[in-house]
Amino acid sequence: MAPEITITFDNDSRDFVLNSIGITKNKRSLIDIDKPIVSLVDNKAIKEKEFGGVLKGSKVFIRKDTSELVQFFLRTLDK
Amino acid sequence: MGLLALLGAIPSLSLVKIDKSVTVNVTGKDNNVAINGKKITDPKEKAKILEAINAENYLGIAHDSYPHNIIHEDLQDSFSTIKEAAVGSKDLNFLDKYTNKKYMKAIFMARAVHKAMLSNNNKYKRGLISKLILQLDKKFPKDGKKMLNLMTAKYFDSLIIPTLIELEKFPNTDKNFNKYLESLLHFFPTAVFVNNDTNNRIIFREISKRLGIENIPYIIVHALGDENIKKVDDAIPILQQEYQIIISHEYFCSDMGIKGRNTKIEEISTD
Repeated sequence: MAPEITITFDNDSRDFVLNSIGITKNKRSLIDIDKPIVSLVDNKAIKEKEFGGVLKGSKVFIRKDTSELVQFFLRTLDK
Repeated sequence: MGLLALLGAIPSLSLVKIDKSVTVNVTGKDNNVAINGKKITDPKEKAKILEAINAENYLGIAHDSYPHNIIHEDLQDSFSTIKEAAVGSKDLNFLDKYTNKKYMKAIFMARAVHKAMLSNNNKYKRGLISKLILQLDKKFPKDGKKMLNLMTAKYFDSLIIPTLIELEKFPNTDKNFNKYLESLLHFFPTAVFVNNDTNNRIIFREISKRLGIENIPYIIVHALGDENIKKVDDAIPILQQEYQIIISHEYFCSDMGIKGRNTKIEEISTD
């Protein structure tokens, strides 16, 4: 099985990562094509400084917040 | 060339072990790169890696699904522990069917921390586990540490999950189970947990509260570490002045190799 890759970024390299995943920004939030990216937890727009990343095999964006990671992986539990 | 293939071909990475997982850290205004902790100093190698990241992420845009985990470095420590907690956990799946989301999130995070404690993997050193516990407490201040206490003292295995299995035989399982869990979190009649922030007054109060309950068979006081064990020892003579009780101790070594003690307190029946 191929190794899993995790790419991490910090506040200074955030722009590189946002550009690579096609996310732009306006004054209020980060934009995916023509609409703001929203958190899976509260469905509200994620601001640039809040951006925590996006998880493999998804286009689910999270804030820089452990509880949003918990929420994401809870959804992966088999129902 | 794909990112993984590229990493395999880079000479300066020949001694870096790349087996189950690879972490690519991109940091600073110059987008400096490190692979599994090894800094890439050659500008051409760095440029190729950044280009490969761009190319693979670009595919993700087109397919609505990114090929890699992309996370802020602040989440890096908790990411792998939380992810591992989700893998192959039948208990979590079972609990998730009936437990309120507010409790389930705390249970999940507590399970991730507990799994890290049990792990023989060197990355889960004590400092990192302490950091994860702090995060658990910060994110779930009401129930996080309580869930972890219940998990490390094996009450999920011995009591909570067996209770849910029983409740599943009857209607309204989720309502009844959540009511049960809420009452346990609010007040666990046969257990007291002594943590670093539990003082002697609280220990005495909590034990007394339970001794005041009719027909309570026993109380187990769980303490981890010499200082917490001493707090219990300080409370015992005072309790013995007020109550007729039998005390017995069971020493153990915790999942993290710390000395622990369960003190059983039974009130002597005067009937």
